[in-house]
Amino acid sequence: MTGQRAAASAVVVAILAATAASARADRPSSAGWYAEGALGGTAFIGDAANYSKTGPALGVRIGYDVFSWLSVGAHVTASTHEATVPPPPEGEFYQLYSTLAEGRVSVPIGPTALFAFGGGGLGIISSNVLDKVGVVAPGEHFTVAFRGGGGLEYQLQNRHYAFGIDGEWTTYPEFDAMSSVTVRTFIRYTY
Amino acid sequence: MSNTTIAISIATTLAVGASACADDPVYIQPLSALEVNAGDDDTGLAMDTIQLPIRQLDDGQCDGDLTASRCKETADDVDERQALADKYGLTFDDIPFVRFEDMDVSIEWTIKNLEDVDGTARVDVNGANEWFQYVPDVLVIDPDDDEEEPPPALIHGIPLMIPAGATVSGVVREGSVREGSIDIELITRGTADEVCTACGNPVAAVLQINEDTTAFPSDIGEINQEIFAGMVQFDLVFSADRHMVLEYAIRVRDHRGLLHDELSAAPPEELIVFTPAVYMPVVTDPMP
Repeated sequence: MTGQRAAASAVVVAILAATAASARADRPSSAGWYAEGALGGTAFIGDAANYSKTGPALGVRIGYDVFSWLSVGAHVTASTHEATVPPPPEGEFYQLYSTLAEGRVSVPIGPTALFAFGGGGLGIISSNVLDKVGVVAPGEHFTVAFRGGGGLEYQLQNRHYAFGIDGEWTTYPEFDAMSSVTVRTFIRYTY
Repeated sequence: MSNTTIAISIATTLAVGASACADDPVYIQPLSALEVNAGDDDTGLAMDTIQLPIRQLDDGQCDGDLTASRCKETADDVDERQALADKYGLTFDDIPFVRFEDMDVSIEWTIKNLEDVDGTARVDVNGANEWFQYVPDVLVIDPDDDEEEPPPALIHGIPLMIPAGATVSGVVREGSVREGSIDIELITRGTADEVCTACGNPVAAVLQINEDTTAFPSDIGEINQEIFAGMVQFDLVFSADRHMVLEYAIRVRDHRGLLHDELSAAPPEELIVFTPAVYMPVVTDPMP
């Protein structure tokens, strides 16, 4: 069984590599160090949705294309939310930050690419406003964070630039397992 | 892209995030709400006191003796305080540990009327800096006048109509708390004419708007805003003529990192307990 899985994995990798090579021929793109900026929105799911409104989000990725289909890097995000805890306080905002190590696998299809990513790192909340509803404990501002998601990327004629849209799910286990979903549009520059 | 560029990019991003956090407000919740007129014998008045959970800053120089005045400060804090004393020609102990500009405080509240008839409620705030507590009830200007009302609260509210079954929210703004801090200083250390202790009205400052005061004369010399003491204790006074509940939260923007990370949940031995004296004026020449 294990041997069959290994063989299947090897086939998938071979297909990805071959697809990437053929796509690169269709639409040349740079590979190597890259930087990415993104704007979008973050909403909470589960119990946390009762205490926080959807808010604007931004993100920055910096990393390296190990292969044309595999990238590793750092993903830094920030989002702002209005707390909707039982008053008082009322109409207060807080920020949620994260810094994660991330890996990304891409499947190029012509000038576009489907990709999936995942990673883990650190989450930071700026305020204790959610303390009142038990999302954070007294003095707690940091948590581990895990993230997964996917999206669609379009490679421009200029081989350095691509843009796209992605969606992701993030969980913050030490913040009462608070979970969020984010949708962003991004532009990516590869050196 | 060089490794240096990458490192700078990441560091910049993290620095932006960290700086955004520096002055984020924290919320200090009281242990319970204030409820009035819950029973027939209720006076319609309830009070609660919260002292800001300021952490001990002892970095070892006190050798465990936390009763020493300097044991709540790091060596850098002591140096800074001494520098302020030198700058204004005052002694070390004339410089407050918690200063006016260290924190911005506001108080957010919600009143719920639990009856099916309209009622009136009021929220007043008194309090203290690390030296003096303002308690209007003890400030009797003329003991021979039985009908004399006590002076107003430090931050006096107005009567609010709370509709039957309704919830009304409000806030004691940062500016009002700043004014309260200035007023305590003017009343307790000031010798300016507008405070008028000598003419028998030691609480005149409470009735005036002093938010633009940047310095005032005192017996020890001019007190500049840089060394005004900040309020560290808040005494909420809730009064209503119906069965009502007041919930509140103290919102603090801590510019100097004085608050304990765990706020009121911190171990007591890690917090500074201030013991301000109740201010009693010395009236030398009562008003006619």
